[in-house]
Amino acid sequence: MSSSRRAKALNSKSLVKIATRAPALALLAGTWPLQLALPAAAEEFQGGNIHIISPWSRATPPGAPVAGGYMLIKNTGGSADTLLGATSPIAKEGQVHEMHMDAQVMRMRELTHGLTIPAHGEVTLKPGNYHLMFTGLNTQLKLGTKFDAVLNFAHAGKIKVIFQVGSMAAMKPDSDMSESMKMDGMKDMKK
Amino acid sequence: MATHRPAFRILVSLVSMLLVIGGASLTPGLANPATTRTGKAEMGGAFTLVDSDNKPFSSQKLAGKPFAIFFGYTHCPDVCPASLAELTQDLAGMGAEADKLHVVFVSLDPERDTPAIMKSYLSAFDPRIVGLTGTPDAVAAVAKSYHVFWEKVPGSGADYTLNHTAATYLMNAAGEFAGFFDFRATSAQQTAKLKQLVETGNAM
Repeated sequence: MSSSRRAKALNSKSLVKIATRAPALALLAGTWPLQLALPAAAEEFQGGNIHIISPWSRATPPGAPVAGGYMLIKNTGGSADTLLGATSPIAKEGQVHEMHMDAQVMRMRELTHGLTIPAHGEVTLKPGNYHLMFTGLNTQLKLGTKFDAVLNFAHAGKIKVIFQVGSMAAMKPDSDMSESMKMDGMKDMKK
Repeated sequence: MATHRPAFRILVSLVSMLLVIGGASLTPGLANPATTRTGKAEMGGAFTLVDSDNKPFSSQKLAGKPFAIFFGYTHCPDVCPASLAELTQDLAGMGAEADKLHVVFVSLDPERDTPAIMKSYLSAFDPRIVGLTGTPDAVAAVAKSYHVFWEKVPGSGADYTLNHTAATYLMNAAGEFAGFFDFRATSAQQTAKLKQLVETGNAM
């Protein structure tokens, strides 16, 4: 299957965004080298009608056997497609999982039949929600690094992507903690 | 479809509020030692587990200071490393006040989480976070005493994941329930609660 890759050009707006985020990122980076903490431009990968935008993961603690994979998947075609899983040199397997919070309980399950991407629709894989779960991790994922993977779709076939590794508590691809996003889920959870 | 529908959000908010209200009624009277039967649901109590140096760790070591306790496992891809990373940030944000409390991470997966694995895993976080594991029975008893829910979810082959309570419980210096938060709280909210716990013993 053909796949293409193009990095979106940085416009002035995104440069401003990066500039304003830099202090927070420096804080998040902790003991990590600062130059690694800068966000990367949104990257897009394509196979058939499926577009993969900004695949990212989180840094893992030493010895952690698993890692999550997150991204935005857009389907520009007239029929639904299904994400079946992924392969990567970093892991034994890449499964599609669903996670949700049931009050204070985190529940996770493997979507053995895959994740449907509706026709002319999109699905976001993100922390606390749908994600790829890389199991049998053979390396420690470090902030600011990248790794290759191949996503497998029922119709679009195999799409090569590159994951960017964000901070361990990142909520979005550019390592931004996204306080506003978190506030959204917490606003009624007052002390 | 990947984003939370408003109805779901409202439900989560309602359940969260109920939990907060319910949490308040869980608090034993201040005059009662944690071990006294008050007729109310109680949280916590004495335990002995194993620390990441493979040494026995008694809950007596926590006595006299408030503590935050989180239950998880190292095969956890999302909530556990994120929660521990945030606790690490919270402690950094508290400055000297961080030394006035303990932070404890208890493995709900003692079959896989040996002391050595816990030690390696926790090396990515604030060294003040104490990692505890133990026999499955000992861990289960502690988790139950904190009303923590967990269950194994079979995966491919011998692999499994856990569904589990993702809240960090805040306990006062007498070992009594004093509040909670989870990874959905911002770092500022978490730090505020931890400071409140240290200063007043109550972070409801």
